[in-house]
Amino acid sequence: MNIADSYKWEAVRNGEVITKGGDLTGCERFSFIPQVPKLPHVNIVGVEMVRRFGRGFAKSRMGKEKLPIKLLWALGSDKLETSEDMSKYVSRGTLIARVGSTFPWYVVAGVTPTEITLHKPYEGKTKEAETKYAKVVNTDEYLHCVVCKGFRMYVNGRTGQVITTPEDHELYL
Amino acid sequence: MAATIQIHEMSALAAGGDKTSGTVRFKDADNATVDLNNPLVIPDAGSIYSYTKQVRAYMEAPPDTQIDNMRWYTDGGNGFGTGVTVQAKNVGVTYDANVKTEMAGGADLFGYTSAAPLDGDGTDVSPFTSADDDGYIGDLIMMQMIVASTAAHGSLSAETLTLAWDEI
Repeated sequence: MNIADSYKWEAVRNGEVITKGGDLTGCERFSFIPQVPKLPHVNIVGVEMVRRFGRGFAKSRMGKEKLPIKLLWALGSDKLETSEDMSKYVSRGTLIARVGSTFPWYVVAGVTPTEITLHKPYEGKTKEAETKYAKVVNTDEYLHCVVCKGFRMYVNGRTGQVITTPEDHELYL
Repeated sequence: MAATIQIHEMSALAAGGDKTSGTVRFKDADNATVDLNNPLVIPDAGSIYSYTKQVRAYMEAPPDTQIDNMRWYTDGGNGFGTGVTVQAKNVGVTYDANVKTEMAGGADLFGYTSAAPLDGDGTDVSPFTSADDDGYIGDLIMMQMIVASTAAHGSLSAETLTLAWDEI
């Protein structure tokens, strides 16, 4: 699904439901209706509404998008430490796969952002294994905006996060 | 339905390939292929130039009403490291072949931020509507990487070029 379509919207003016256009003058209610699970429903009522618009973002990478990950395998330890908090960049599944590709006979028993627990202590020579993963980048983002008298409200189409700003504030990701 | 807008790397005024989820690789060859061929070699002295790259917005699916306010920007920080810079400029809708000589009239790409973006629809003026569906919209953005003798060897870290637009 296009990230921009994760929400539908509707406004009510004089009892009529509006689903297209940008002018919200005279509307009594505005609703963001999620089209995917876990996104919040957002209603705006009791304020003077002015207009709405969507703001799309497309991103292209330049240069290499590789991120080094180092896992320290220490003799006698069942813990593998990563060089830093990788949770922002790679999934737990990626970290587990990295362990499996290095020593497939060890099973991952647990994962935190900076530490992997093996099912038994490592019995080999202490070493630091490095690999590089493609950094995860959201290549598209979308903000839905409703401009009201005195403030405006942005709703993130990916996360449902609501950000309220001054009326003339332009938010870019 | 909302519009779908892509970033295309151009090989002509109205021909290119989608790089929205891909990579624009600056290289010593005039093609859009992302590979390890034709790397930029750090010079002993002075600087060398990549072939220029040109990107443009493509309307893959139309908006309900219109699109406008197109702008290009970066995060404002050059993560490519010492001795590596990228120049950028808006060339309107005049497509010139890519060259590896110094691009005239460009400015630091990383000087273009969300607060001070590179205008994307100054010549091919918005708004764009469903009549522009399946076509290129806005202006061509030309870029060129410059590598100085002070640059470090190896693959560069990542940077992101963002295209933003408003739609109703």
